[in-house]
Amino acid sequence: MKTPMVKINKEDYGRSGQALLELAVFSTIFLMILTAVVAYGMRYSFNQRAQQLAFRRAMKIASDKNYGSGSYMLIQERHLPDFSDPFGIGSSMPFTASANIVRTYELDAQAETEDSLPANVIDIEAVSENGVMEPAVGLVLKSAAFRYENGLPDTEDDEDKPELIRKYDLIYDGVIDQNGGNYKIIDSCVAEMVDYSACYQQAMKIVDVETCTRHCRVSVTEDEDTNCSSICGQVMNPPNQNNRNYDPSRGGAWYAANYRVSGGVYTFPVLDEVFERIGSAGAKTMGLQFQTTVSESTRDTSIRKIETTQRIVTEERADWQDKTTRSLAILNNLNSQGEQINHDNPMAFADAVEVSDIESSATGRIRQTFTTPK
Amino acid sequence: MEMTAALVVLMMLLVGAARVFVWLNERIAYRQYHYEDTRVQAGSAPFTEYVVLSNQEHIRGLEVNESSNPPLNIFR
Repeated sequence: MKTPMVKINKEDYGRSGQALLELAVFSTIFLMILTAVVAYGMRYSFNQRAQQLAFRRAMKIASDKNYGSGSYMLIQERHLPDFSDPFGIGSSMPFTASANIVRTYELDAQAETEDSLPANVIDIEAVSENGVMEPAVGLVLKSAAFRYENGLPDTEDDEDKPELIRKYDLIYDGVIDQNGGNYKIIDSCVAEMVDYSACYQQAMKIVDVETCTRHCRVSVTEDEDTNCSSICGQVMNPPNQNNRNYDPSRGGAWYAANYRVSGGVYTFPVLDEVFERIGSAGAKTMGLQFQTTVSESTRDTSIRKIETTQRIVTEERADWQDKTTRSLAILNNLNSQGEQINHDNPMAFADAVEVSDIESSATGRIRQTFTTPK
Repeated sequence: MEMTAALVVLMMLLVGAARVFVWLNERIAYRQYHYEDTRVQAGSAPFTEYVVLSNQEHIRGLEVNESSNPPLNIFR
């Protein structure tokens, strides 16, 4: 007996699965949109949370009488799930917020002790199991420190300061007379966190009379007692406009030592060397070097299916970890009193640059069991 | 029949995603409300010497408590 034949025309192929195919294609796109919508919502929410926390913490620091100001940075390694990912694990992402607060009545306050020197507080927090944020790294980096200069004119009273000391006041903002021609200077270029541009500008004011005069004219009001050209024409401890060498016996701005001038452009080899020691190309500030962030992800997932005559049990297990390594560069040249450690050779200050790795890990786990009766 | 089922599933996904998105946005609004509400209290800390910068517990400011915010309910 012949098997009955069914004739299928070419146009009949695949027709019955068309809707299923459309669903498969369209739902993939739809799931991507869904992921994006949820991820956007989460990003804005996490961002707002980080900003609020950073501001409140900076305010808390500024509420301490010792500081009067607060500089705070918060990095939160948060987890963003992804529906298109197996197990929906997704990835972690840093949410960064920072805040600087100065109490208005503390604007003119001068640091007198190590405790009251301005500092940047950096906290890194990472998500742990069940979405709990755990502290991972806490850093306190001074943004100004003390150094000493001597052999300067003694100041009898504040109203009749010699013009040389007024030049120091103009450039450093914080100069404390220690009597006998010794001065304690609060210098932001000898601290743990140093900024290249700010120190370049400061070095320029020390060695170039014109730059100093321009700065003077926007900072103070000239009158019969204040002449910017005359103040800036004063010769500070070397390096200065006449002498390029650093004299360790008198103290001075070592970062301006051995400067060169070519076509009106100043080059400060010691300052350049300090930042070259950071090692990452083009690094212009100390602290966390975001351009050298390295992320390493590990995923450990499994599904176990147990089928009996009564039920099907599916066990899902996933452990994940996102390890982020950031580079931290500091100028580690302070003693316990927040004072600069002196060196005879200005290039030796560059040896104090320290670069280390800062690690933080965002982790999570999923344990799910589904039971389906047969 | 298949197309109808597909459309129903897609609509469910659409509504679910919209609910999650709205819930996340609501959280931002609630958080901002509580944050503004506690401004004076947060700024009225005593001006004394009590913060050790290396102590992470010391530098915690007045933080918004989010436990009273409405939970996610996509069937609402």
